[in-house]
Amino acid sequence: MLRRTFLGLLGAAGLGAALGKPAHAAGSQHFQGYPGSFGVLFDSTRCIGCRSCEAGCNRVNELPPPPEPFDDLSVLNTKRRTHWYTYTVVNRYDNIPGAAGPVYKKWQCNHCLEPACASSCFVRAFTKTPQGAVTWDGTVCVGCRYCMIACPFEIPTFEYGEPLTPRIMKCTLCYPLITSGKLTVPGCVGACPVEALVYGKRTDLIKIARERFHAFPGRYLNQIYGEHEMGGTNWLYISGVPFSALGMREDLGVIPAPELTSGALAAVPIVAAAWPVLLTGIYAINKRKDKIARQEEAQAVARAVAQAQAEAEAKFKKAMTKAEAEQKAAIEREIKRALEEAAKGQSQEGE
Amino acid sequence: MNTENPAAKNSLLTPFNVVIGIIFLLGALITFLRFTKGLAGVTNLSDNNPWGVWISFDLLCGVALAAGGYTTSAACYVFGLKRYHSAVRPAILTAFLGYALVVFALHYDVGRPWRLPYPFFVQSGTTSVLFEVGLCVFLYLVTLFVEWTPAALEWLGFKKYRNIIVRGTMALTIFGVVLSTMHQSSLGALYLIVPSKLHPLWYSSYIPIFFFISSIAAGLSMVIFEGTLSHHFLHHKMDRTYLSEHNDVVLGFSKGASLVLACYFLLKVVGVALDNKWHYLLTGYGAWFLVELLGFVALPCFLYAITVREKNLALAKWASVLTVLGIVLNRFNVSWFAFNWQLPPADRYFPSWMEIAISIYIVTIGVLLFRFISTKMPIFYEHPEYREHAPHEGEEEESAHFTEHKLHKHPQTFGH
Amino acid sequence: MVKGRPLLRWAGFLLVCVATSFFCLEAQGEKAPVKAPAKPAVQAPESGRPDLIKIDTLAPFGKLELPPVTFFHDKHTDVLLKEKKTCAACHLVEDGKLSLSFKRQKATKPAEIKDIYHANCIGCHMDMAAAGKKSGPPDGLCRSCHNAEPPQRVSLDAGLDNVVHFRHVDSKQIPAAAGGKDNCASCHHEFDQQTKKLVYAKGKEETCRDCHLAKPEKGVKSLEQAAHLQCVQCHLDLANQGVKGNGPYLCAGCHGAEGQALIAKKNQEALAKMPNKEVPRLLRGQPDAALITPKPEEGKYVKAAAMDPVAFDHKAHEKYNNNCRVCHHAGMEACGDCHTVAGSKEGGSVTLEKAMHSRSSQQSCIGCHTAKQTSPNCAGCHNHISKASRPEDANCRQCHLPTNLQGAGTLREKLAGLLKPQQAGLAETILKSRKMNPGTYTEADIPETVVLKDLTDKYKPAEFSHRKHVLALMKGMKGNVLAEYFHYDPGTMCQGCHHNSPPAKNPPACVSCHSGDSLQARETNRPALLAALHGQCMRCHKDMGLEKPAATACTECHKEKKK
Repeated sequence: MLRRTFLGLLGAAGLGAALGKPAHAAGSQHFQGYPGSFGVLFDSTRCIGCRSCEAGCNRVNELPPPPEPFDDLSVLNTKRRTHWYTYTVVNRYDNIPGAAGPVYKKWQCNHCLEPACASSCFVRAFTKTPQGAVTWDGTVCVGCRYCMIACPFEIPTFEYGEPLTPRIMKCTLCYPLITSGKLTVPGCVGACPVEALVYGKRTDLIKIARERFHAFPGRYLNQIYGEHEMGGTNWLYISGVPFSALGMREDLGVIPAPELTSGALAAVPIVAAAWPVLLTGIYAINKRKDKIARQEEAQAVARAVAQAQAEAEAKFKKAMTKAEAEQKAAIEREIKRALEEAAKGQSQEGE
Repeated sequence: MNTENPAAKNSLLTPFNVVIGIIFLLGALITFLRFTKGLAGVTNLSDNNPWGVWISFDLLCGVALAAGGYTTSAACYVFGLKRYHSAVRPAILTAFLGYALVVFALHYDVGRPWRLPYPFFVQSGTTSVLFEVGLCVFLYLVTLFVEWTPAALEWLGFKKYRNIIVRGTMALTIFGVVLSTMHQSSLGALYLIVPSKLHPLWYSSYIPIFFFISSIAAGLSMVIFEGTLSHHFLHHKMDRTYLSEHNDVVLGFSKGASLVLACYFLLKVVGVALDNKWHYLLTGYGAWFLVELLGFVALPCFLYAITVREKNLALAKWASVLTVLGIVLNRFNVSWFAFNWQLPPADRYFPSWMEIAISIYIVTIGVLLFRFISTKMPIFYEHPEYREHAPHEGEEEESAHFTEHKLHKHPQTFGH
Repeated sequence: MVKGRPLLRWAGFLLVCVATSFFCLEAQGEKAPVKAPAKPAVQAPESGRPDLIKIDTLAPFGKLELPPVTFFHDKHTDVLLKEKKTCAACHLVEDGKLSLSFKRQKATKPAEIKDIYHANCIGCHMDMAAAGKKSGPPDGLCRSCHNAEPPQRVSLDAGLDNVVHFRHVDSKQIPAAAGGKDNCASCHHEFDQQTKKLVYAKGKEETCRDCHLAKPEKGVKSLEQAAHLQCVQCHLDLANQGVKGNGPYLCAGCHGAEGQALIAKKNQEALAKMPNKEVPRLLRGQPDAALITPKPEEGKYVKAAAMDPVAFDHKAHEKYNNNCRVCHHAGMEACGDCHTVAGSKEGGSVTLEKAMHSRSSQQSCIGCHTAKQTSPNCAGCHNHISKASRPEDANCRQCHLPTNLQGAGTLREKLAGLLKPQQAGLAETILKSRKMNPGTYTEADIPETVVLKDLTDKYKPAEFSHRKHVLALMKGMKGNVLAEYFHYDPGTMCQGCHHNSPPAKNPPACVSCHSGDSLQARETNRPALLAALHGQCMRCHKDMGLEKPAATACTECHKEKKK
């Protein structure tokens, strides 16, 4: 058990060590997005925190009315996240060094180029459409909520209150409404009174953002959030204050989520192919070893038996010869005695 | 009249049965609530914390602790260690029930349980690690079921089918090891996609390896642990082959577990070194990580080593408890304590009592099923018609009186 | 080997010990990704003092055994003054020169340095204590001085500006040079390479920073050393003589918040006494007006690219800044002497064009003007004028002479070839002929109310108080020379809102360019009408620091339509 287990584990560990870094074979392609896909550019220097976007989204998606009306700006006193009835929220950030007043941020699904939710869904309920939106298909969703675990931006929400038909709820970039022609721009974009949101081709939005940086150098940070984060998103942000001050994570890196698991998944066919051979091999080797052991044992036994037999025979022979000799000697003794007695008797008669 | 048959009147109201009854009642009630009020009415799950104790415990721990099936059958059939043969059937039964209950528990957790077969039969998300987990668990459950059926078939008397299945043992075992490797490691790989949410001391590109290696240790320890419990409660069902091989099993598995735990310990250290995460050890989470690593990996490894050297089987019992707890702790850490560590404490998750009750309910079902099957079917003993060992002296009469054999105190051979 | 049960007990005990000891390591939840632990500002007593000096002289010699000493200079100066002692009590004087190191002229061996400090510091403390006076830590209390967690030093930058300089110039305490009227020689000097002495050269006074740089270099003291030796010593001498108005000699007097507040107050008092409430002009023989032109010939180019020169009102600009260094870095040369067309080593490779036009520099013309545009009165319009576009030619003409009219090339060269006094004369003439802004159109031409009728669905038309806004903006510009000169057309200031079209009495309607369709935004980066109107108004209010009307107070600008 010792040696074999150890060798087996060594093999596993060796394979594992080779998987220590993500396998780059799958990740050497860098997906730049479907050409001509649409996105939204959010400019936090323009946003005034009026929540018209939330109202617009609620209206076009026919979501239930929230507890507080949309013109109640006191909700901005606490930080909110998306919920099953709110695809998007605006949050206010005060006392940021370098900012003259509060800065607002609108948060919703970022429609990543390589979405973690789509990669993680085991029924392919999510689709990254060529138009740019990441959509959810309720006809196959099992409700396992792995997409909620996987999303680095913590966006998808779940109808926990629904007993039998809970849905994943998140921003759809108004994909069904735009493709059916009901809207030309997403509900939030259309509702914004200051065009803090611009809907356009992702490539154009990046160009527009850079033009704004060039035109107003003191106003913006020279970075577009979403250009590279998690491999790139279709919802882009520009701001005059650091993004981390707006509650946006700057430590997500640029590796898209699917690349994080592609290495581990690549190991599956290797295990499926190699393990049976390896294990059968071990079994066969063991069996052969046992067989040889048995053969050697049989041989050893046979040798021992033969040796014992030979010894016994030798011993028997020795005993036999000895017995023969003794018998012969006894007979000779008897003959001698008989002869002596006969001779003695004869001498007595002769007188 | 009371004195005539006191046992018969109170036989159903034993403390054990009362407790079981309460658990079942609660289970039924909460099940009803779950499917009328949804997850919100029963759990503390939220949008920030979509996976709770049903995943952490029932799924992750359940699968890890059911690893005894493939480790034991691999040891016996693939590595040719025939002296562990008697431990195979109990291990397979534990594993089969474990996996079956994992699937049962999923029916509570998932939003639309009737759609659980969808990934395999309707639309497959092959980029998903969860798909791989699901597929392998599904196939392995079938494998385990098939591996368990000989016991049932022997009990039912279907000799022909039983022999057909037994002939496929080798193939089933290898298939089981392959599937187990894949899904044990994939359960860890589930968390590869969230480096931003899992604490760096637990997040590593080596997570799949950690989960796989620790599952081996878990399996070996569960066999020892379950063997200890069975000895106490199901002793009367054990035949002399089982009893005589038992010590060997404990010693041999202790040796194996010690080595595996040592390997796991080193791998974990390598994992910390890989991305230069040493400074995290000086934080609160670092202290907790060291507790898990030193108290529940290094310590049982050490204890197992002593067991082997001193041939002290009672120590193996404690070491196995520590290891099992350590695996549970590790799965809890990865999926719950160290997950979403970046959220403020107000947004962290704690299970509701109903979630815990359902988990207890599921474990209880498992225990009851185990007891039922192992008392009725040849798990701890060999069915006389299918004996593989030559009967021991005196076993001929024993087998005839098997079912009437009462529980009696067996002299402790593995104390001190 | 030990038997099972005691062994198990020990193992369990060990586990508990390990677990407890690790939890005692301040086990707390981590809320954020762990960064390098940032030590919070220790609010130790004595925090925020500017006179905190960290004595770590032995640091270059290797790892320190104890933390550096925290030394409060002002405390010691106070005490020494009470004892009627001078700087010489701690700082050795040799050949009339004070050494800024403690009780030594040069750095010697580490052991010697340590002894010097210990013997003298602790020695003095012990002497004072023996004499029954309050003193610092005695021998044995090492960590009272070698403080492991020192308080934070808060020290403000100190220096001269025109008012302070004038107070020195005007001061009776600083005597005039023999046979002269002014006391410049008391401070201003230059180093004569031949006599190796500091001498005074009239008419060539520079700022201290021209020679005294941040670090000591080739025998030239650093600015810090020079300033302290010159200024502080003089102030202290005066204080010792019992003169009132001696100037600060404590660290806090110049570098502390309170000290600077006192200086500001004294500045105000001095200004109040002056006619015009401003200091008289600092005379160093500088021109009233100058012609900024490139040097006529340069090494790289046979004839330097002569550019239309700029007539620069030097006298007026002297009033806009409170010291010369804002433009003249350190030395008082003309810009073109170092900043040549191609860029030179003296000019730090900054070309003349860049030196004059760089938007981000405080020293360049355009840079300073751009910075002035960010003040609230100007920012409302100027903050949303794109910096990406090149200004109009007429804008350039406000500074650059129009020499492209007759026989341009030779005229430029001729101008560049003039001697400085001639250039100055020409510049003065040109400056006199400049016209300031005629303001804007007459009130009659400015509509009183503009009704914004487009896009009314949720709200009624907005009634915009147009004239009120224009007049308020004009009021804000009054007296601002920049605004009055560069808004050269009556319609120029209108272009703050009526942008991207020539100045006119009837500018085009917004909707001519800003159509209602937001499709525009994604194609041209130009907002649609709603966003254009909102963005313009809201951003202006925000940048001018107006809290009302708030951007989200919709009904303050347009009433709601009742359905």
